[in-house]
Amino acid sequence: MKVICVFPITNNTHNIPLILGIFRLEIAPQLILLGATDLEIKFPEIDYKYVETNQSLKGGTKGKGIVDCLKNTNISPDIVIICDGSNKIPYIYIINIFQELISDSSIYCVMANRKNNKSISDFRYLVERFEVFALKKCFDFKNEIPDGQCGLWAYRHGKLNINSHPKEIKLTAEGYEIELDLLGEILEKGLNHSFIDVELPLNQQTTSFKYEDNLKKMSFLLNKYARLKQYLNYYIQEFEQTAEFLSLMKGEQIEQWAEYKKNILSLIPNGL
Amino acid sequence: MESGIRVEIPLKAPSILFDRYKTIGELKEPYPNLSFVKYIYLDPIDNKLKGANPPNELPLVENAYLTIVGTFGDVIKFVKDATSLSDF
Repeated sequence: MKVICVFPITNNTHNIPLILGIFRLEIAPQLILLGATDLEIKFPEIDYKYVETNQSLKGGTKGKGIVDCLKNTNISPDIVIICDGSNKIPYIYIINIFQELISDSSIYCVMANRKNNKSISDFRYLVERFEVFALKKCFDFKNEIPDGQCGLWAYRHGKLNINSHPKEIKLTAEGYEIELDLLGEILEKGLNHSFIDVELPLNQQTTSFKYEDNLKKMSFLLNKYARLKQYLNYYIQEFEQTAEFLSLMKGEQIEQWAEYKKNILSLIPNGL
Repeated sequence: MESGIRVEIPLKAPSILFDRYKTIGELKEPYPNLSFVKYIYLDPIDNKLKGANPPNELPLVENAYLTIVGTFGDVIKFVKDATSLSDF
């Protein structure tokens, strides 16, 4: 079984030796025991377009970095594992996510579910929950999606033969919407998936994520899914009536949410 | 015997590699146990993006990707150098 592990590493190249050290001592031996035969590790920091234009790194190219490096692999992988290289997610969970994915051949994707600490601001978490809610509504998906935007995930790569129907997970995101891209692909194509629980340490870490990245994420979804464009206003109203929204809505988030709502509605014609 | 691994890393300045070596050939010398198998870089001569199984004469440039193959020990030693700041 050929496995590629990708660690997006924007502004964190100094973490590479640490990640490789953990991979050598703890992760690789377990992956090999579980059936991995070929292992390749990639650390995309910049997408190849940035190499081409020799621009200085400005962040926000996480998705493009991942998509580019998957197009340029030596082995054609059976399994792709992605884990943010920012040291926020304990790398040892890579073993759990790999084990979960290979334990059932009818599962095509496994995502991490952040229990307790989400390692992002309360407002960003609120927005993440709305994005997932909107995708669920868009595809009329009834089951719970506990997370779907953690930076640790794995999926079966290449052509999938599902009850004689060929399907494939195709990622096209350029920035931080890469996890939403994956979730959308899974829901749209009706692929079985599961979650593993992860506990993130509480230490504070910096992030290159900006408010504008929330809008880029929604813009990506609106461009990809016409139904979302059509019903965005309605989904917002419905989300605002959920218990989850009411539990997350407090303090300065009331104002931030109003601004966010206005901004994403302005992304669609006649949205405001 | 330790198993081999294939790793792709970004080459970014500042790094001692850029202080010490100007070409891929110079870079290969102190790491004889590693295979340098792929190099994606912007060629300063014609300003075009190129990917190569790198011959020795290629220039070592910033914002490139380098793929190396070797044992974990040798790969980690190289990566520590690549991510170390300047000698000066």
